[in-house]
Amino acid sequence: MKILVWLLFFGVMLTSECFGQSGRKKPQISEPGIKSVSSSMQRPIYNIYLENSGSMNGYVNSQAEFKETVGNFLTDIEINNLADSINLNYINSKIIPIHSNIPNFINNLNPTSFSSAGGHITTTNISMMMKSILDKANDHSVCLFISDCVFSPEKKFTAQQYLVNQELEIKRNFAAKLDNYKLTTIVLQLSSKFEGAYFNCLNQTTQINAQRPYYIWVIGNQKFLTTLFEKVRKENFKGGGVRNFYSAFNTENAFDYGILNSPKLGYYNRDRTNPKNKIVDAQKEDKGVHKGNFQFSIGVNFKESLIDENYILDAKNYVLPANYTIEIVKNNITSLPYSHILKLTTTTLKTESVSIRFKNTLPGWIAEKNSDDDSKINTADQMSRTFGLKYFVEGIFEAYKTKNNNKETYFEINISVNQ
Amino acid sequence: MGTIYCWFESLFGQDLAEHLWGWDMSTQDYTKGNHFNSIGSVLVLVTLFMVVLFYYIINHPRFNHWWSWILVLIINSGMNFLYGWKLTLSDLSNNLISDDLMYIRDVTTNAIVTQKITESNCVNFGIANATLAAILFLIFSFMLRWWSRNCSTCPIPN
Repeated sequence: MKILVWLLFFGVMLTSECFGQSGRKKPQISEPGIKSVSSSMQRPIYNIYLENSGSMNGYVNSQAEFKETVGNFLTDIEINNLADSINLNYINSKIIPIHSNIPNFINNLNPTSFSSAGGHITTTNISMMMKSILDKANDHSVCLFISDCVFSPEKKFTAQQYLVNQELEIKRNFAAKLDNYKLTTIVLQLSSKFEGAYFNCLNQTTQINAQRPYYIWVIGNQKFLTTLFEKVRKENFKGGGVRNFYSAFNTENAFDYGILNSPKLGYYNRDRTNPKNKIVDAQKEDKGVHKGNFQFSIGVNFKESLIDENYILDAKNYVLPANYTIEIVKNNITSLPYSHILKLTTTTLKTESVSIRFKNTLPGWIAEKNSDDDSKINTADQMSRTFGLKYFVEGIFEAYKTKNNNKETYFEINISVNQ
Repeated sequence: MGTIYCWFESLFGQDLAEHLWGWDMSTQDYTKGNHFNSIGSVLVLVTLFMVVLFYYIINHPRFNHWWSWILVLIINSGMNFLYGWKLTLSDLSNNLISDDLMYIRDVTTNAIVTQKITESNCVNFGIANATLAAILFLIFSFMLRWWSRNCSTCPIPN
């Protein structure tokens, strides 16, 4: 009896030790979504360049969406304290500083102020304007270029010749700048009512009264642009919102990723010595409607890349082994440190290295919205297009690609799948 | 140690196993420390002590019967069951298990679809711990009984 009492006492001691959790460290719990912001991070100077050539008059002839969008965007930059200072300029053949505050600048956007500001306003040389802007760009500034981006060919060239020359100039200028600065370039395509004369590739004018695209180009250090689009969400742009989006950046920064334990079909374990890249004990689903399928998921953080959401979600932009299919979903699970989940599924599971490559190509909308001949601008198809857009963007794309060692992909993830 | 525990993974579940391997969602790696080793060490020490207790401390002719050996085995398993169960239950109640192991969430709404680790997983881990304790008790008994003055023929006569 004495012995049994002693055993019981020992049991109670052991159990109380386990209740007390002695000897085990309580892990630090970090609250997701809360970020510390470095107080030492300086705010950039915002240089705004609004094209004031004659082709822009149609956007400012009335209280169209153009003024509302540009005004709200600039105001949001100001009230969110994103800028150390904001310098307002018109741009055509030269940069023309406008000494005004944002409300007055927006209120004075009209053909009269455009023409009275000076400069050569009858033609549009985008590559020259871009060079002037790039000359002012540096690590401590953000440049905004607001333009219809419609090239106006000089008479000595054919339209095609002119566009090719412009593309080469833009590529050269950007490449030279990227040699010294790690700049990110973002293209926002927006739309506004256009009421006035449209200058086509033959320099003929057509009076139009319709919705026309225009563009805001944002050039600057990636951290400033990430902050800008965190504070001023492109989904919330006034005046019809952002129609399309493209970003070009230095891809040397790695995309954070990891194998997730769900969603999945079948069974697998992350390898404990290499949980980021290796799956072990992979087995197909053996029951239910998904019987015979194997699926694993990868979380990828695209958050700071500024790549267009539609581009990320398009399965066509990923290169995979032939036996796998991919589905990309936006992640709203706050506890996961990834912005998107890539679900990879196969019916032919085997031990192999699964390579997932995310292609770095121009988004489809660039070709869709490009026009090589805008002489018949009044057709519905041409009205939503921009003459020469493709050449402009391709020039920038090629410059970044060269600086990214001609890489065809944003990233390549290799997952070792082992049965 | 974890590999041995994972013979019973189908009993207590893959997600609890991941927690006990030390999965940490914030680092996306096994950085929390291997709990299998700490639990397994307690199991080995307690079982060793119980075997030594039976054969060398109690060591009484009155207990030289298979049923008394079984009784000590059951007490040992019971203590290890309590330890394994309460330890994992404590992690569960104190939210020490990573969210991605605890729940399947809707990727669109962040709402919980399924809770993957529940109290029953903890009970089942306790059962796995108790089973391993019984096996180890048997092994230690056959290793250490020979030098016992009064119980060396327990549970099976030489």
